[in-house]
Amino acid sequence: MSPELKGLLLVASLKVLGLFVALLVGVIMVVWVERRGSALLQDRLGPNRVGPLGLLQNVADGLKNFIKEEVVPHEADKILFQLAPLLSFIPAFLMFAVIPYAAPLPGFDITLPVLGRFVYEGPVAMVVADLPVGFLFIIAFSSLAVYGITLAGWAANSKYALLGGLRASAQMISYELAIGLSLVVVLLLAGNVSLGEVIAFQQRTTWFVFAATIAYMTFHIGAFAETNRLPFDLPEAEAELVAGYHAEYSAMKYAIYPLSEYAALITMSAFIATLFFGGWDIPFTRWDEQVATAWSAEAVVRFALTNLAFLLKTFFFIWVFVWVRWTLPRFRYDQLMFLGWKVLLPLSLVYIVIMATAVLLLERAGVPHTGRYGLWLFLVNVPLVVALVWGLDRRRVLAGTVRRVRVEA
Amino acid sequence: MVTTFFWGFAGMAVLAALLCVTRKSPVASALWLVMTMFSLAAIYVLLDAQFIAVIQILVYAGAIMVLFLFVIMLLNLGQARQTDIRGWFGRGVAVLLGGGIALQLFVLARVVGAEGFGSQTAGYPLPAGALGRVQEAQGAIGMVADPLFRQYLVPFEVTSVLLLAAIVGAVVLAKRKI
Amino acid sequence: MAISVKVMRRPDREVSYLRATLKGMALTFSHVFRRKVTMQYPEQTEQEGFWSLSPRWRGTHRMLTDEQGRAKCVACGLCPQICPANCIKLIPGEDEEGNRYPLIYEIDEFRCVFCGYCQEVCPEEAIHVGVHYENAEYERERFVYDLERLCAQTHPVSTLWDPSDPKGE
Repeated sequence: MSPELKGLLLVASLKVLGLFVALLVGVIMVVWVERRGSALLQDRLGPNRVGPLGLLQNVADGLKNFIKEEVVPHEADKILFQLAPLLSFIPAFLMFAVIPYAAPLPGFDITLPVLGRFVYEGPVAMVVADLPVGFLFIIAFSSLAVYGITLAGWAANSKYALLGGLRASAQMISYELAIGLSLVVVLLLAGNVSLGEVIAFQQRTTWFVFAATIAYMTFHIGAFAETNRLPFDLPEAEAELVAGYHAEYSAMKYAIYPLSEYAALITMSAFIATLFFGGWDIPFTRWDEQVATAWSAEAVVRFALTNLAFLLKTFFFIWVFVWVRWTLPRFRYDQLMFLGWKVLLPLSLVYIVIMATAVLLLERAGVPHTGRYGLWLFLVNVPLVVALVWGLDRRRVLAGTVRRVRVEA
Repeated sequence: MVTTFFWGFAGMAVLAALLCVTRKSPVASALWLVMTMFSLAAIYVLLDAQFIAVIQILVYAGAIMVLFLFVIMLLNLGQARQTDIRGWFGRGVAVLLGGGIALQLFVLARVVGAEGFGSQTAGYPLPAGALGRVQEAQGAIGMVADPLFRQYLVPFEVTSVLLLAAIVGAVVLAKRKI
Repeated sequence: MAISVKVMRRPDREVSYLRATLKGMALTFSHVFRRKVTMQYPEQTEQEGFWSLSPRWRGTHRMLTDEQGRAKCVACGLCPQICPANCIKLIPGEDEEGNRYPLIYEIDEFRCVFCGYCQEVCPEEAIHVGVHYENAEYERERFVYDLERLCAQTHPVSTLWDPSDPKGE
């Protein structure tokens, strides 16, 4: 094996292993954040007995789930029933592969005692797979997660589970449209789907939350639906469907569902942070954008700080998910569909047209891709957001059901 | 290396397609079809067409097949049914159709090139790595978007009109009273 | 014929979804900083201002004793008579001086419904229901409290509802 190939393999395996472990630990941490955060919001303390601050509570729950009895319903489709948790688990973990999580580290040329020489040219991008298709990969695989849920609902041969599965498939397809269309605006601005390029463009101009505010709003609402979180947790809806699609699951197969839900939650938060909040970019400084060519303390510090920035942003959105969960009640199914198809979809379509025009005009005017470009886009967005908020406030965009429903006698 | 992967995924696609048409339960059939689409996406990736591959997964596997499953579940078609291919007549028709398609493929292979698909006489010869270079220059999406919206704009628009007509037709069929 | 619903026209600040949502978010977030009501139970059994046992709580029984340490019970038989759950077993005995005392006095705490009638009916104020709730045992048999055990309990006794002092003042 050539030193270059060995270097590539080393980097790839380290990144894959590191990210997988980080994501698994992250899921446990997020469950802890969710439980302690819920408790905070409800004037409780939450789990605080197992381990320091109750951090090991989820490990204990995991162990409990491992030793519990697994029940497969008699009338269930055995193979699909076993397969469904995997189908939900794998996409949730795959999605993170394309999200960059820190500033690149410099390349290396080292010789280890037994293994020999390892060479890696140029900066090591801190992303498992910098695919040319970038965020389309995430959208594609998040759309696959619905199989796990739908098949779980169907295979269990239970009416509650089936209803949950049906709801999940309809809901996720509906909101994928809004999500996909809001991403078109990101694509228009950055000119590329590769997340590394999206971050680089935001560093040059401004964060897309300012340059594409309405796209961010649509995306964030869609993210709630895609992760099946409140206020869109209709597939689970424990009040009406027992537990929805995973009503018939037990032991570890059940535990995989929350696990993949939380993995998807982390990925969605990281995705929002990357697309609209500059990813690992540290605001108000250009220092983090310099690419180190040789190893130095500065390169390592830059890696650590940018990674910290990324983690903080991701954590903030995870907290928002928890926060919203205990604030908003669950939507009714027709409200969900109304919001998805009749509000978010036209809204993002109109927004694409406006933003495309703005981008075209800016390109014609020859505005360079710097902070000024971002400022212009921000100025375009301000009246749009004001109009949208005004419309929302005056019930022009969303209105109570009373206005829409006419009961035919 | 690439050839090995190609044969692996091609075999998988064919096998999954066969299982798709032979399974009795509609849900299993649909899932094998998803498998076929995945294998096709993998083959697209081998051809340096990552965008097409990811769209294949996003649109076909992620959206259309989920809708199929949705309909299968709603109509409660989940249980295995007797196959449509029954009796000597059914089998005869099946063999005839299958044979016809096989013959077509065979003829196509002969016309495209005696040495097989990889030869220089193939329909659209591209120098090795050409797609990779274009992708480097234009990005994965520009590579598809550029010819689609310049060279093939009229066919593209005609297709969208066709799809629109299909949607209107479906609405008219489904909803008696508009 | 279409039924039309009369829609009240209310001011925007009352019906705006946006403002309601934001208000709700602020409200839930403010709870993060509020005092937590959780009581750390095994370490902490009472929390001033939040939760403490009422003096009227009717828990497991206790038999009061006189100065010599004997049970005050005179085995009059009123408590097994009034007990709606029939959980008190009493066999009276009599000593040389003619004083009645319980030979066997057992209360099955599993059958007991903790109505407190035994305490109310007792003429000697001997049997009481107590302000106590930590009763876990490893065996079912341990829930039948005999006289010795009833006398050995030290928890405070319940202050039952008094009709002449309904608010417990």
